[in-house]
Amino acid sequence: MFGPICGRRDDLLRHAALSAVLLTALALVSFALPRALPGHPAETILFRLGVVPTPEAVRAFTEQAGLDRPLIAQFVAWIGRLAAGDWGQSLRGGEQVAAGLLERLPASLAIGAGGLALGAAMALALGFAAAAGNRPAESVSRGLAFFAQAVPAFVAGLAAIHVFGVELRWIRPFGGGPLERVLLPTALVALYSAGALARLVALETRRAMAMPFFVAARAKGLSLGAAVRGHAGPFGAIALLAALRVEAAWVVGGTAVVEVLFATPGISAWMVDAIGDRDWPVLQAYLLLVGLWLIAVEALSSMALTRLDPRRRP
Amino acid sequence: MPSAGYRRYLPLALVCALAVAGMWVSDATVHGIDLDRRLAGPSLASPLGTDAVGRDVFARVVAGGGRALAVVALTLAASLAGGVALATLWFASPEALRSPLVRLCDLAIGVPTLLVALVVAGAVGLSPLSAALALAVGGSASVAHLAIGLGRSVLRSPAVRAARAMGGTPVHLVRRHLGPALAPPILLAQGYEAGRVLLAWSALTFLGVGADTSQPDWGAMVFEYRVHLFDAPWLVLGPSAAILVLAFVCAQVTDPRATVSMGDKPL
Repeated sequence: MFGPICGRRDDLLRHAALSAVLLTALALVSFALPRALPGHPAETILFRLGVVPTPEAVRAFTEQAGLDRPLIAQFVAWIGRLAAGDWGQSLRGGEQVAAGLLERLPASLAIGAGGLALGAAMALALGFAAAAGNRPAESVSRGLAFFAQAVPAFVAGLAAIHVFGVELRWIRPFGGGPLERVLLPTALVALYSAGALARLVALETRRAMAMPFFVAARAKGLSLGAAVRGHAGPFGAIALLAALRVEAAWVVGGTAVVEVLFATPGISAWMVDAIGDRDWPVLQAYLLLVGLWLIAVEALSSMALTRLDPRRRP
Repeated sequence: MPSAGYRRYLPLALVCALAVAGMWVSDATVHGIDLDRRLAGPSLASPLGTDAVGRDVFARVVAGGGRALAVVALTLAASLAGGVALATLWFASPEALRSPLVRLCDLAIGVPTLLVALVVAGAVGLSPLSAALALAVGGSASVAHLAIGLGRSVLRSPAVRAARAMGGTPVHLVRRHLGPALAPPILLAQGYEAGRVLLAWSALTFLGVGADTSQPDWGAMVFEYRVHLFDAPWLVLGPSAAILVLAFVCAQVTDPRATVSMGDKPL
């Protein structure tokens, strides 16, 4: 988003300033968006809890939750407590948001970040093999890319549950432990991102293989595989890193679907409930985390790109 | 690929015809419950079986198809309109405004599409229109990106410079140069988007935030029927296969190499 991150001092300063602006904007959006939804949490949550939302009950709830204060005061209080590590309380159950996030984050991170990393690793292996002329690798990456475009993740997940849970009885469907709730969804996310990424890696690697330096590498006696990995491969890896930013946005929605399907207690499943409840503190925290995740992926891929790509260095 | 001709559009036409025919299927057939025929297996009367309250799954799948097609068509149309408008704005605006406009598009592309759609669905309810508008946020930004990128190189080309030197009006430039050069790649990219839009709509109805649960949407049906994976596993097959077929048909129409991409020819 801000160009390459390099080691120079003015560059770091520019980045720090831009990051501060970006974080402030992110906090504002996270705070404002839930409040822009029609309906007040006092009404929806009292209703969900089975309490008739009479005006008195709504007023009492609003006052107790501190939602009657001016918006500015609420925002400042939220930011102040965030800095101290207090993310507020869920309006629905009174659960501490910070504790709730800590409890749910490992599963979601494993599914999202783990699945993406696994998918990227598969994409590199498949892409290099396909570029080196391996037909099965080519077919597998084409098949996976097509599959990810035509089959919704929840249908593939249901098929997996049917095969492993109903036919083979290896897993407990819609429940069970980490195997069912984290490992299967992670594998699903990896399979969904691997296909298109592998084709991208193969394409860029092949393009590099047409360049004179690759012919030179082969002429000095390197085997095809070694030449692809050592000389053309970095081009594929650079394309992969750039594409990971887009995948990082996709994976946010992807994890929501698989978490709901596999009944994983993750942050995306929490968010889906919180939208219906208008549980503002939970939604604020979720939006903030998604923003931080996107910024982190952007920064990491940018740093890795400068490392890999000498053309980006000053 | 002119040789493929109209035959490429045949599957899509068939699907559309089926969905249109589905609009004449009475509400009684789609929503009618029949407690005597609960969880009946596939038969001639109901090819995809019946669900837990005896509703005909085939009728529901066909009824859901109209809404799915509407979402795809509306999203693509809105993305196209929004993207062309943004690109026009970019070309019309002074140098200082151009970079912020591109940054804005980058931001719209970078924000998770499904999250935007979930928030919109939570705010105004999930309908084909609200979903299409939410999905078109990122869509129009990518159309704008493509149009700006391609348009710049077209405007720099000798043909356009000559047309300008001869006093070509902006309307002439758009009609004879920009339009013909930009339309094919943009339409191809849009067709490529059709499958993604369909999957996003399925995911939204599967998650069900703000959804009208009385509507037989495919994702909602899969969500509802998934608990019958043990006693009536064929129930999820109907809506799942419907999504798959429509996604495949979309890919077929837009990409002449779609059949090849199944893996019988290397690049």
